[in-house]
Amino acid sequence: MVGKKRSYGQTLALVIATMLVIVILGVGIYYLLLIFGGARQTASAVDAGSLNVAKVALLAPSIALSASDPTERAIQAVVGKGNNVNLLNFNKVVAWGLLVAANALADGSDEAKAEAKAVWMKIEGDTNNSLGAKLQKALVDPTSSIPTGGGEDVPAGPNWAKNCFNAAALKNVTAMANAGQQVRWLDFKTAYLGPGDSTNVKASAIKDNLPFSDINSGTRYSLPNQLPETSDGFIKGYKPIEMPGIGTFYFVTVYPDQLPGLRSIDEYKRGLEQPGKDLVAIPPNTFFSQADITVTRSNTVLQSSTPACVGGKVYPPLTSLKTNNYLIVDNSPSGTYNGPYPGGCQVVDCEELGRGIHVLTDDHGNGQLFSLNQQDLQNIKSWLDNGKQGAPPATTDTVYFYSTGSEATGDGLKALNKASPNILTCTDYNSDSSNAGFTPQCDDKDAFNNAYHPGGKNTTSVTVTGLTAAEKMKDEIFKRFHTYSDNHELGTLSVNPAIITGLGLYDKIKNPITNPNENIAWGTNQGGKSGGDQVGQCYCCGDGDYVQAGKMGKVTTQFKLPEGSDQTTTANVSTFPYTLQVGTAEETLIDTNPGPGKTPREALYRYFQNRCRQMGAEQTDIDSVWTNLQIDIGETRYVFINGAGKLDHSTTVPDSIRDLAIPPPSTEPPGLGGKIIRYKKQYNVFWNMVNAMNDFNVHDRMFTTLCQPGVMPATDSLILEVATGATGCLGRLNLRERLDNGPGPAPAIAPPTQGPTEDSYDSKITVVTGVNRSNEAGAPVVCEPD
Amino acid sequence: MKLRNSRGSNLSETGPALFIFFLGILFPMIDLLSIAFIYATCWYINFTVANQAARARESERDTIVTGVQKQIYNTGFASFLKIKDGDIKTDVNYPAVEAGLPAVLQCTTTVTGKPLVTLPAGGIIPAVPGLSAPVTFSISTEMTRESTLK
Repeated sequence: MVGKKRSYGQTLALVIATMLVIVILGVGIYYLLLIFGGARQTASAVDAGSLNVAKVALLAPSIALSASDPTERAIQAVVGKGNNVNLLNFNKVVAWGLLVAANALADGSDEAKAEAKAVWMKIEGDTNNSLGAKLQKALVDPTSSIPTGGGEDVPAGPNWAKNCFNAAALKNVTAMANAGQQVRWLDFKTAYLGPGDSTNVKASAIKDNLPFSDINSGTRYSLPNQLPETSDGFIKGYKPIEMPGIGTFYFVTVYPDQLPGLRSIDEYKRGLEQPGKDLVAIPPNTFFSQADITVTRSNTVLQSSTPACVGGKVYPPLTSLKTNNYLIVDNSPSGTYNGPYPGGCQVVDCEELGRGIHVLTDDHGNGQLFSLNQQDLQNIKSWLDNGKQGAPPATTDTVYFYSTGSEATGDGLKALNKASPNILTCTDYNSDSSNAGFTPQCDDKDAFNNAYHPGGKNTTSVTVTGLTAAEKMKDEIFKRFHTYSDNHELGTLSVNPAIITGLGLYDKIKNPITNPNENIAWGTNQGGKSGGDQVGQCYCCGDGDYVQAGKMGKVTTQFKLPEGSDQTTTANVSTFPYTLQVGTAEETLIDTNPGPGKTPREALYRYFQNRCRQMGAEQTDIDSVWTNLQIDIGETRYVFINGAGKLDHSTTVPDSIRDLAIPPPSTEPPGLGGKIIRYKKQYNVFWNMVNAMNDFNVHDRMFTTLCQPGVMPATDSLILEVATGATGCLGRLNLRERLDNGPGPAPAIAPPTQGPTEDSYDSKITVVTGVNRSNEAGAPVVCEPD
Repeated sequence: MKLRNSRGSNLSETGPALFIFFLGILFPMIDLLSIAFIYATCWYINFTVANQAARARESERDTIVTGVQKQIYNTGFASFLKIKDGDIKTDVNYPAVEAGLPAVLQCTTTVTGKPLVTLPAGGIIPAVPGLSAPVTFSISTEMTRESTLK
């Protein structure tokens, strides 16, 4: 039977069916929207997590440095005490290593190159154990640990990649995908993005601070190849910088003008291989994080991944390298005098030690004439030789007559004494303030008496330090003379083993030649102070600043040939060649008039300036230290960057470098891994002794005549020990004065020996040490005058 | 009075009902769906290009734009939506960075698609984009750049 079809309702069914389709479609779209929305939320969460990994990676994981390894101690100084090596400061370490390599190549010595290569190996050249390799392993390994104290977004403990990812990703809502579950970290990989992009080190930090290959000519070392540099002046990351014989350096791209940022998958894939992987091990800069989430409605798993690259925008780029390296200026040691104290340095004594005393003896045993003025004695001698014709000659300076006999009138000097108002007669009697007729001026020369007259006063022994080698030698003579005068043995003075000291510089204004009322204190290491413990310091000088301690910029000026205007002795001056010796090469005679830019001072300034700049010093600070750094005899000064980032200097080892392997002072500079450059000026301490510039009289001859010719060479040197900085030391400038037999005839200083005996006053102008002691020893030393 | 034939009424009602159903409901719904897909495609292209361009160098912009568009053109989806070569236009600009603000990029995507079922138009019936004429969507996005490299 055929059923009767309903005659109505067909349209309703159609509408219902249509509505059903629409509802199903709507529900489907809703679910689709949830999936899409969930995907967006998941992607955002993964983006955030990945960015946080890249953000943290600049600082952690990091590599601690070993205190037992000298190179790592030097690197510790570069990154700062207590800091580890991380991705942010890794480039600073590489830049430092590059400068060390440049210093080594500029120096050229094998030892320096080996040292620089060891540094390169330590930084990144050793693909297994270098700092770069360790940092690479730490960053690539997601289970690496981060120490505490990194901040809110830097979770401490192991699994750094997961923890850092979760620290940011889990703060993102992913409810559209799954209200009860958040994204789940899966894995991460690393890459090396941006070869040729910016590091955080300005190229100028290297280019402007390259060392000099020859400081004397001012020739600057050039890198073998142009330093790869971005358009904004940064060194390019992940690009090779070849340093022949040392290694190939690679910096890491860290984008100093960007924040950590996401990168495209395509770029990430292009950077999977480490640049220069066969040569070095360097850390990655991009971190590819993967995570997923289960979408509740569809029970499907949504996976999201994204690479994020580091960005150093919040950290200042390195325009210069504050490396905590240092320079040493060594003006030690100083000579030490231990002997009788002259008992105050009166005029005669000060001058005596500074200029030499001229003596005219009277072999009748009546005494001697002493004067600082050779011409005065020469005139007197001529007057005597000519039978005392006419009036006695007037004298320019005071001539002391020390009588050893009675006050009876007599011939010779006593007659002269009576005749000449310029001659001051002193005796034991009128030298004693307790006696009637006391002559204060004679008392003032107690020290003179003490030195040149037996049984003198004030024989207290003192120990004085701060003497240069030449000064020390004068003291030796002084002391020996004194002991002789006390009837002790006077042996041949020996300066072997060699006496080596630092150099001194004295205030030109206090030159006793031009300022006769001022006396130079010699051998002091306490500028501006007067004290009884300083041989040669004079009460007559007061407490003024009569000694200007050596300042580096001035001490180095001494190293040019003496100029006439600065010499107090113009006659009988002879100099040994002023020479330059580089390394073990033969000494080179330096042009006597080298001209602007080529003096030793300027050469040394170049080195000083360059190394200070390598430390990160500003030019104004460099000049200030160079000009004002005071180097007293016996001192060692350290030039370093202080806590405020300024160039500074100190006599004590500053904290910033205390942990470094600091070379101990040495009288014979052994070298610090690089060349040794010596600027030398040699002169004879005896006879025609040259007055070193600005060294008024301290180096002047103290003997107007020697009984026999001789040479006692003194060598003033500026010895530069070039250093690469591999251990933190960028060089040492040694100021040295050395007395030794040196080249030429053997030293000739002899005790008084038997000489001709003349029963007359026909004495000669003789040497101080050879003051005619006929009354005492019966064996006067008579030498021909000049 | 003679009653109307009930069968005949069914037959006579089906025609108009189907006409109304197809032209008034089903086809417009299908077209609305295609409009939604065209819009979604436009948004997707815009988002993808902006997102990738934000993470890449400026020099890679054209590669990204071409790649994403090519990816869309090659899908059956584009055929379904009748999107042909030249129907997608994407423009990425890098405005100058203002002081204190992050670098951004501006991405504008224009997609022209035809309705899945083109409804008749003409005469007094105007052409309606998306129903009886192609529809064009334009979406602009400004996004912070992750990479500011040239």
